Amino acid sequence: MTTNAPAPLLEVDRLKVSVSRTVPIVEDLSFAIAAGETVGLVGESGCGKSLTALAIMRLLAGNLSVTSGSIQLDGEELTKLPEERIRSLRGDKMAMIYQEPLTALNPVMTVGAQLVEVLRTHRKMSKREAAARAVELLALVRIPDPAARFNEYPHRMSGGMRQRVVIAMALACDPKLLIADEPTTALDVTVQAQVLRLIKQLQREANLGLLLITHDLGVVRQVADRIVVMYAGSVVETGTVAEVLGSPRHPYTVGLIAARPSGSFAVDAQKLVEISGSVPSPEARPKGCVFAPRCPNAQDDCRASRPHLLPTTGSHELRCLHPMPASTPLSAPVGMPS
Amino acid sequence: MTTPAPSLPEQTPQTGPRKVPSRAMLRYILRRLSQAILVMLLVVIGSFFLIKMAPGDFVDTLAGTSDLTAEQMANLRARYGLDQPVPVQLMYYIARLATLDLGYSPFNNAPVLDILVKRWPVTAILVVTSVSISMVVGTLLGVMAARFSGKPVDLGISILMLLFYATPNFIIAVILILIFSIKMNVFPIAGFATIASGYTGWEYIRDVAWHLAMPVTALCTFFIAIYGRIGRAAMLEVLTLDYIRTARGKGLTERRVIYVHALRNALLPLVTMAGLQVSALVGGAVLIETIFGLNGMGRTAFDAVFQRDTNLLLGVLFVSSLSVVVVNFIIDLLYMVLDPRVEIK
Repeated sequence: MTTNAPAPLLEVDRLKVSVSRTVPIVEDLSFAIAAGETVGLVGESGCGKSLTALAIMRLLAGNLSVTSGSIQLDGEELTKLPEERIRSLRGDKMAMIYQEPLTALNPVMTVGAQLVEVLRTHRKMSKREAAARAVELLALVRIPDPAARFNEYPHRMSGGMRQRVVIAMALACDPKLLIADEPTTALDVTVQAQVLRLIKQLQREANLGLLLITHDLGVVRQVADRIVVMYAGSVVETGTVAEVLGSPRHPYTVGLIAARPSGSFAVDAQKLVEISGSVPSPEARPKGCVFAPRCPNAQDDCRASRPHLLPTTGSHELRCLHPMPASTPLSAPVGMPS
Repeated sequence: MTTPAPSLPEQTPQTGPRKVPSRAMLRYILRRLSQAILVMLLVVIGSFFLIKMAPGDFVDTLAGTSDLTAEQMANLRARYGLDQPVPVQLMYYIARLATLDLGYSPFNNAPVLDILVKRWPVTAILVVTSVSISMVVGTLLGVMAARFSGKPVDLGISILMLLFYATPNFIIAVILILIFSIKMNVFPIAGFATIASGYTGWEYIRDVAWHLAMPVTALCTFFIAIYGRIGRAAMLEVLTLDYIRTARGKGLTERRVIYVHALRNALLPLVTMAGLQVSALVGGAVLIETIFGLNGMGRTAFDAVFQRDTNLLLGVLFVSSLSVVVVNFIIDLLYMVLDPRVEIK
């Protein structure tokens, strides 16, 4: 994608999400997703990935709220829309897949009823039409014997099947934006790959903008076009997958990659490296760079003030004063337009 | 008695409802039936000994009001089998019970079954309407309180609940009588229906409803508070669950999220409560029946105790326990309908 690209489908700009309107959890978060593009949002647990997703869907609960910044979907400012309008967008233009398929479905309603409900909320459909469409959707997400499954209760299905139902529900009204919040984390390894492939395939077919939230860099490399690395509530590094994973510059990204199991069972397989320390709690974020306390490169200037997210080469952006040296590019970030 | 799933009408062409294997269902019902028989037997034996442990019988009561010679007393006792040892009396009682013969009430000069057939409906109507009304009203109040938790509505409902919870039902009964019968003269002060009114059909039903309005209200208040509190807590818990977020994420209206997705799940503890309420009311209606001059089971039991009318008292206990057992069975079935995760084993 070139710089004068058309207006993106989703544009998050300097988003700030706070607890009790005072303690910021997500800060200065900006990224964009174009139609048909897959953006991987990665980071450790607790860095604000899921909150970002919920903020986009306007599903933040309790004392969490967006305190500044903007979220635009197709030019509409989501943070300021009246509740009525947001409701008509949810499940229709934007939809979400959740992390826990086991608890995401209502246990006392049949799978069919839960699908029919979305269709009838957003589309003028008779019960019969909606039921027929629901069975089609179940078939679309490769649920065997969809007509029989229509009347099944969620507890009689496996986690993978339930996640397929959630995906079917999300795709029911042909959304433009799909947010998948760790869609495979709770699933068996063998099922993970299937579900991921399914999401990716459906995304490609419908030209969806996909925000894929995960902590698994392997997943991102497989399916994403661009990657946003989050740490303690803000973006530390972003760019195309080739740029960021091919030549990571931020010490946190480097740490994340090093902490990944190599996927090999060889005896001399590299031992897992961990990033020492843990993500600071939102109340205890340092004044300077949030990663400084855990950073091998940290120097005095890092602790003095927060660095800005600045472009380096191509679309690669970085929030670091003392980044890792640009390694010999493993694969030139050419031909990875999104 | 209704069995939940087997023959529901098909809702959509390509689908058949969840099937409960009929053999499992039959086994379940048989098991519950044998349990029920055991419970009833224990109730009969327990209450029989309990009553016999109290000194005096109805002959003594009679002797207190009319002059009886020792011989007449002995004759009466022999006639009603009261001269036999207690275990023998019990054996006879159970044997008669097996043929649905609840014995004879000497004071009422009528078979116990005939008396109870007249009085059971009074209490049954009272209890069923009270349970229904308190459950619906209490649940709705609880849902509203949960939906606006922390806001003035919630506070208002909470205060009302506390008031209902803390006021004994006989006090509420008296207050209602003072206001609505004596001051305003809207509702009849006592009785089940207007005597010798000749009402039939809807007019009769309306007449009974008019008579029962105050006793039902008095029986409801406490349980409205209970349902309200349980309902509020259950709703608050359910509303934090993932599938509620999913429901909102689908773009459903808040009303649908609350009343369809959340309430169905929050209903489960409330249904359990309904079973307890029935048991509590069957015994607890005595005061209200007395205050409002209703000849129900509670009143009957109360009078039977004072008259040492063992057969009648045992009959009341038997029929009441049987009602409670049946209601609880229905509630278990209802539970299976409400929560598909509960399955017959």
